[in-house]
Amino acid sequence: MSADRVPLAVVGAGPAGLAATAAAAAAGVPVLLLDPAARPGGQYHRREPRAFGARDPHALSPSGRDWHARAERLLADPLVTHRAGATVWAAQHRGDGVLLATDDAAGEVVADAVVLATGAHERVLPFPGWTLPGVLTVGGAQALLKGQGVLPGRAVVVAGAGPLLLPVSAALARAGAGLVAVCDAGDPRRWLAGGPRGLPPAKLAEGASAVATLARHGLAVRPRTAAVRARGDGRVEEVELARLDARWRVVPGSERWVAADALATSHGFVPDLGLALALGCRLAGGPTPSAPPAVAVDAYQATGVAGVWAAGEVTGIGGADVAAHEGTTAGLAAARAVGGAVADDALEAAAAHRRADRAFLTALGAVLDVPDGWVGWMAPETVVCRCEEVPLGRIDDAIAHRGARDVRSVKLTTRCGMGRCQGRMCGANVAGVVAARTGAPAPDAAALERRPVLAPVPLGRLGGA
Amino acid sequence: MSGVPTEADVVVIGSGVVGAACAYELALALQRVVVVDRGHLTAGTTASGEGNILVSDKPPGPELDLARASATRWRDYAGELARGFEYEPKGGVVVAPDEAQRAGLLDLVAQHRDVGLTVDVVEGTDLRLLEPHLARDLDLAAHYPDDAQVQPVLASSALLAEVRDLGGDVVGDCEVLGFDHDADGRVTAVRTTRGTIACGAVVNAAGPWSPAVARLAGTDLPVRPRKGTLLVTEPLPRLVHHKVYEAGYVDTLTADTTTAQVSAVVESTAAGTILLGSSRELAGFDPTVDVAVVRRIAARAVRLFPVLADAALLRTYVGFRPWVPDHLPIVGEDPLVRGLWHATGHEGAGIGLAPATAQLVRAGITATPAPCDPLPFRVSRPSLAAAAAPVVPA
Ligand SMILES: Cc1cc2nc3c(=O)[nH]c(=O)nc-3n(C[C@H](O)[C@H](O)[C@H](O)COP(=O)(O)OP(=O)(O)OC[C@H]3O[C@@H](n4cnc5c(N)ncnc54)[C@H](O)[C@@H]3O)c2cc1C
Ligand SMILES: Cc1cc2nc3c(=O)[nH]c(=O)nc-3n(C[C@H](O)[C@H](O)[C@H](O)COP(=O)(O)OP(=O)(O)OC[C@H]3O[C@@H](n4cnc5c(N)ncnc54)[C@H](O)[C@@H]3O)c2cc1C
Repeated sequence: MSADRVPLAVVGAGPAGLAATAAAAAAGVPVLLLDPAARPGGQYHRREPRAFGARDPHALSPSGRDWHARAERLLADPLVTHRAGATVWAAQHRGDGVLLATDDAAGEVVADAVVLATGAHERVLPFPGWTLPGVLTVGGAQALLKGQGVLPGRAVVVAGAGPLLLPVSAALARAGAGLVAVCDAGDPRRWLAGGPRGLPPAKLAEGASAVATLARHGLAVRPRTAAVRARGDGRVEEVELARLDARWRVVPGSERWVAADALATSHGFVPDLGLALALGCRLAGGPTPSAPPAVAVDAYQATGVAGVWAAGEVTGIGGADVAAHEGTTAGLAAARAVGGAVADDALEAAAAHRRADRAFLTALGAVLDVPDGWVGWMAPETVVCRCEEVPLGRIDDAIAHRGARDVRSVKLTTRCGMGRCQGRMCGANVAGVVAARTGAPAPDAAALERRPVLAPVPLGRLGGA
Repeated sequence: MSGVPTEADVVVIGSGVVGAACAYELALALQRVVVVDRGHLTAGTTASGEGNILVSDKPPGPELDLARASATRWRDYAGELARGFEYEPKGGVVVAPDEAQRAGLLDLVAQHRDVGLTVDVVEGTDLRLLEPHLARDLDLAAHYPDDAQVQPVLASSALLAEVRDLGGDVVGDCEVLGFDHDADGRVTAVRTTRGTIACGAVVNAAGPWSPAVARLAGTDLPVRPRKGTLLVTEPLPRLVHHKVYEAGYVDTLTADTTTAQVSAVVESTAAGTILLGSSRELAGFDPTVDVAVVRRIAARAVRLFPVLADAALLRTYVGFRPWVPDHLPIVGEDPLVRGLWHATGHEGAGIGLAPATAQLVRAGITATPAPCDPLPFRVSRPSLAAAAAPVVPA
């Protein structure tokens, strides 16, 4: 298969990838932007399909008209080629650049420089009943609302952790979902009381406004509280809420069942490291021991691997604005490396943003901490890996009776992480269980992120001779 | 860090399928066994093998004898071990996509019949009954009912669990650093990162890393890594019923090249996934999955089973077969370092050949009867001496 050549490829069309594309194109470098979605936006600027035909497609989207107009203009730039519907399923260094294999008709491309902006995915902690219909992720609830204008239910519990909880709960309340409870396993008061230094006033204001919205609907966020069980006949009908201690263990006697027809739950984000690991990028630990690892980068978003830059949540969880700042820096730095016209002060100005973002990221990291007490929410039959339907009991058996001591041997003996998602969804949780059971100091969360095939691709598409 | 037992009759280095089988057979012979592995248990080559137990791909000779003895022993294990390992006596089907492969196949079938192997040549409807989804233009195949399959990691961990039940020890994260010898050069102890184990004998079952272990004892082995890539599909309903491979595969076994050779090997697993192999390449320990090789393997598999064009590829992995220049395993005591027994060099057949290899080792160490003639596998055989200075990367 003969591959096209491009000076710069950007993988991922979220805020980071789009900012990188814009910066590089402005420096005169032709950019190939690859993303599986039909239209750009990534997680945050998620858009309903054009075919949906809503009269005002932006009405539901907080990201607004302005952003979308800018994205349209960017994609119209003759230096920018947006290959929609293209997932990079494998990547490899070659003598003459980085080979990216895509699952669309084009098949592959060789780039002199690559910006990895593959983002992060939501983490959902498992508990008895979490696989019942009616249980969805917080981001999923938001997507339903933003993408299709649909409410997840009429009596909704939102329970989890992380910065999504408040804004999505507020959006659900505004849209008329009968919210039953909003529970944060962490302590959101740390967000709002101005506790963590470095949270920018805008973020605090966002949080405060979400809290005010919830209050108008008669709801207060319950701190240190989690949904630890769900049950129902064929779909969720009841959710058990419990108080947690600082390590997220259930406080005995605090459990209460509440009636609900939907449960939105997630516990922060996990960077999507597959592509970065395939290209040999180094990882850095998060701001706390339990935080998921992310791609290590320098002040200019360089990964240390020749020709590879990374930006956005793949380098650490920080929200859309930080992702966009990093994207600009990466786009400029990569463009300069392939001969683009980038002035020193432009690059320095972009990189300066990152230093300012640092304090915020550290503060955010403390709020996003996921201590290991959740392992105790599960029963032996609770499914940890959904694709291969592996229950906790089988992992325990592998550890107790098959000599498995680490994530990889647990995978090989139980099939955890071997299914369709290849550990993207369960990887952090399997690592958490293994660390809790073996007493390892920190979960080996990247173990299941190493996967040479980044996304499923039909054999017929591989079409080699 | 917890230590290791200070004494053993036999120390087995390596917890791959070969080390696990050796430890089990030795433990059955009442030897006090300690298995050490520098990494996680059974995470070496064995974790990247397909698990085929083949007689069909070996021309008559010592390796076929070893394979037949092993196939029988695997059947025993399926009944004897307390933990399951997805043993499937499913049989092999060898197809011939072109004229040259057809001639080679019929010739091998004739040789196999001469040594009493069960094999049927199947054509037309009979072949469709065996493999309904095989490409229409493939109209001749050889069916070997005695080929079987196991899940290699489960099989090894089942063997190691048995070793523990029999009073042996299995220690991971424990690297062998060197050996103690007596005045005659005989091995008396194994030094590891977790302590020293005094012992009567040592089994070097370190797979492609066995030369490095041999060098720690002051000797050497002409074993080199031969890279192989495997593709794994999403779980599917049973589309492939046997282990199906193209006859040309047999030739790639002995064609030693530094560029990748690809021939189709296709089989379903108990989990519903389909494994697609495979490539062979003498390229050192380079773990990169080569996209071009992945494409070639996919194309060969779709050539045999067009229905697979719509099957999603979920993962690929790479492993390093312990290759030997004369393509025979090395099993026996080192002529220079007494007490050091090698059980390595099984290349792409170590899973299939592990049980009889283990019986050979047990026979040598405990002076009990062997399952087949041990001489062809000895370390000092002439065909290895000729290859003492391998030209391929280590
Ligand atoms: C529901 C929801 C609400 C949010 N609300 C807010 C908010 O109010 N404020 C805020 O600051 N942040 C918010 N966030 C977080 C915000 O979305 C992220 O911070 C931001 O999207 C990160 O940008 P990114 O470019 O790094 O990654 P993403 O936006 O995740 O984009 C990554 C892109 O890369 C693509 N990709 C991944 N792998 C491949 C591959 N192998 N080949 C091709 N493409 C690939 C993905 O499909 C995706 O389109 C929210 C997130 C969610 C899910
Ligand atoms: C793609 C592919 C497909 C294959 N398919 C098949 C098949 O279908 N059927 C078949 O029979 N065979 C197959 N094979 C071959 C088979 O996998 C090998 O022959 C077999 O696994 C070798 O097992 P082993 O125990 O010798 O080595 P390994 O499994 O590699 O075990 C050696 C162990 O020694 C340990 N070790 C190394 N150095 C030290 C040290 N200094 N101290 C302590 N421990 C050490 C290592 O950590 C390792 O765990 C395949 C191989 C590949 C790559």
